[in-house]
Amino acid sequence: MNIKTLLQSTAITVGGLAIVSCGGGGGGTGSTVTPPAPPPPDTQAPSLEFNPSSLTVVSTGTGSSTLTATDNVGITTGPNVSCTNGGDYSDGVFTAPETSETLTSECTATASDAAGNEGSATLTVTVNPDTTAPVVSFSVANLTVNSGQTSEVSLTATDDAAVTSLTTTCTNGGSFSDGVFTAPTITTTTNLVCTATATDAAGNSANATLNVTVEPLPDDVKITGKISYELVPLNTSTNGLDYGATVQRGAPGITVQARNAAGGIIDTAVTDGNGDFSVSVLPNTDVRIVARAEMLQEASTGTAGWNVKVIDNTNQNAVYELTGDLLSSGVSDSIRALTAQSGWGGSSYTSTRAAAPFAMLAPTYVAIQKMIADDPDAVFPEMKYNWSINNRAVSGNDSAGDIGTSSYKGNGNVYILGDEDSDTDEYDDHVVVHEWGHYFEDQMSRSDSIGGPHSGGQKLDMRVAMGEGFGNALSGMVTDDPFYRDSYGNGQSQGFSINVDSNDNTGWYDERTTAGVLYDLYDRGTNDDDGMRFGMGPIYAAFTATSYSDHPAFSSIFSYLAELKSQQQDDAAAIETFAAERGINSTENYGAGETNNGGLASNLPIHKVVEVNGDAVEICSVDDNGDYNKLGNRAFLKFTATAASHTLTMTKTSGPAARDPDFVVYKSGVRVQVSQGSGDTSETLTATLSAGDHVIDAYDYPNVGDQDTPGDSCYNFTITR
Amino acid sequence: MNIAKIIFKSLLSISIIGFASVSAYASDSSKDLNSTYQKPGADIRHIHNLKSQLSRGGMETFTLTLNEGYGEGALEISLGTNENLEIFSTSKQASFDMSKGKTHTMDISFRAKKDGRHFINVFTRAVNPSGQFQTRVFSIPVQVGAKVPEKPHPGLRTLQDGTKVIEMKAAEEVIFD
Repeated sequence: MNIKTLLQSTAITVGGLAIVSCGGGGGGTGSTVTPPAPPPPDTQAPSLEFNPSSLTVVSTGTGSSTLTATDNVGITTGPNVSCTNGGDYSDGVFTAPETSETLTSECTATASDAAGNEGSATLTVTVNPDTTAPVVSFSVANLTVNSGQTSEVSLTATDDAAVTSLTTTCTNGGSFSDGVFTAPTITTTTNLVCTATATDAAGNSANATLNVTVEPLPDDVKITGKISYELVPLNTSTNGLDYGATVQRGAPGITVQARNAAGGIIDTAVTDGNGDFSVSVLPNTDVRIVARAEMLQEASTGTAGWNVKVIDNTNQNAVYELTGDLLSSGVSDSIRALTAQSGWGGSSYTSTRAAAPFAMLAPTYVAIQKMIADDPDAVFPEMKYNWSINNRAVSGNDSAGDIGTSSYKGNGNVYILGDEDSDTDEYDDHVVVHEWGHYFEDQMSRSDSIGGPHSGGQKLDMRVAMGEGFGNALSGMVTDDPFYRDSYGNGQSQGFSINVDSNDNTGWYDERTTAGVLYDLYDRGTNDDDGMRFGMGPIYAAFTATSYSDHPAFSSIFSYLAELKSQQQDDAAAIETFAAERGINSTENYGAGETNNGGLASNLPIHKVVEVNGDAVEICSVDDNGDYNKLGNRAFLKFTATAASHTLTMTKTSGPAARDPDFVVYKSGVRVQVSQGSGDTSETLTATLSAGDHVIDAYDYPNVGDQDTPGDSCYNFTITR
Repeated sequence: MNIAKIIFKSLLSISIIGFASVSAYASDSSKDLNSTYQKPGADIRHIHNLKSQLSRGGMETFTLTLNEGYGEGALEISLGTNENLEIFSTSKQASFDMSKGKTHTMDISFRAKKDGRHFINVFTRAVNPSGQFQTRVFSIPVQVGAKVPEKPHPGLRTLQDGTKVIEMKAAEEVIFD
């Protein structure tokens, strides 16, 4: 070992054994320090290996062989690789030279360590000439594209060496580039071929073909789809809304419009019973699908007609519309599904309550469908649901939302509450149908109801009992659910219910009784516990008969059952028996023969007969059951007029001072004379009447208007001519 | 017919509708439906003496009078409002015996925190002796500060044909072939 080597080795060793070498620093007592023995010299050459050590590749092709180089101390130089005959090795890949004859290329790798030891390895590569063509293909062999349109198609080319060129040409105006075929613009079906050619360095080449049929653009494309809304059901325990059970329902009978970017109508459709629709539009046109909160069908022979809208009475009576996005119609049929969402955010409404209008229309659609099933020529006059989130339980200006409560206000207008955390009714389908029932009576049947507050169990004016009972019964008929439910309160979480199938037998003046009678006339099936099973058809027919709507008698359960009996003569006796079981002892138009007086003798007979030029008839107006529209507030009379002047006189016979008798004369449901004088003991009207039967609604005004001084008083009523 | 009485009765009809949600009868000679056919519910009407315009911050007290058409059972009242009004807890609920008369009153105290038109919601329940009940909701408007016109609905549009619409955005799914 020379000095230099020794010093280096010592340094390395000392560096590696620093603790041991500290003994050399001190002068001891003269003892000798023996240095550690030097390491043996590195005589081991690096080890190199190609794996595999031989390859066969094609001209200009490549082959993989892994080169590993190791050394017991460490490689300081290399490995370096050099190849003969034009071959090249780099990063584990051998690249062959171009050759037309077989040759051998030897690649030699060398590496050395710090001690100068050198190792080597050899890779022997046989290089054959390239006679194999590339492989080229389209992902599909055949393609159909519309005029001027594009379609993505994959083009793949491989070679045992390398693809040096890939080109594509198409006939008849087609083009292919970067995996996209572009069709020419044509007006008749055109076939064309795209040919892809792949070539390698050796000049080998191959082709692939794509057969394309280019179709002219269609005249139009169909957009089909569904209009749905989120229905929030009622909890049958609390009668409040159950947002957690919200379901998606198709919106039936809805007007759908396809509109262009400017808002112009391209096509219209009406959703079917499932909410499905189809419209046709030009291809490649920007189209927005709009579902209007409207059910509209023009009447024609054999086709019923109706016109129902949901409008915002607080915003210029604007009709609600559900709008989709403006999107290209494309060149083929497509599907668009629009959903009106409830807007519920978990604990309150946090976005537009778009579902509400459609939730009100859905039961209305069912009501109409049930009625036209037996009257395909029915024409339902225009009807509007006035609904807004601003519709509150405040009486005042409807256009400000102060609608009082959900109600029918005449001329086809139903107002529905929408005030969150107070009272909303858009999902209370029985409420919606109840009010639609008032519309139906007003526009298609007959109601002499004077409206006003009412509750089941109260003794009501018979006209009110009939109208309200019908509304409740109809809600059960349309929904096939006899439980009328009405939600309200914070989070719409509370409510109450009324079972219209309770078989109440209180009598003709109680809306529970009238509702039960009408519902039981309708219902059938396993839960039907009565003998009446008419279904909707006969019930509808009786309500819409002119012999019912034009009858002189005030509308009541009596006049309705009389009409039903006349139409269902085979069941007339059964109807009488059924009515009697419910506390209704007359099925004659005027209620003649009724024996249930509601607790007050003066309530009978229902219509008191006044003979013209005959004796006075005593009537009474009492407040025993409340005021305005309660049983006994008003007395009913009937008389037959001739076409002449008549004098009608109502004179007090008993009761407190300062009463105010008034009366109104009707003929076939039409108010023909109003006598509201100021006399406190008598009221007199002289008027020319037309010939025929008339009825009179006579009352003491304090019992129906001035609520500060209600009371009981009786009168003599006379008519002279 | 006395003209003065016609006017009086017409005014009375309006006031009945306005204060008690009761429909009334016009004195004209044509058959029409000017009555209000309200939804079923408790036969309860209300009047109150709250001032038509209030100032923010001060405590207000008014009397709510409820008239019901029952002779038995209980009349239960609860009140609700939003964050713009503070109803003092002692007056948020009440219960009345309906066998003791048909008119019931309760004093309500509250404080308005913010200008605007707010509402006190009156939830009423008429409970009969067997426990069955019907309800009626009234909202009492509370005008705090000056009246401000309501802003139109942000979705209000006029179509090419002049139709007024309220646009509501749909959740939409589009599928192309």
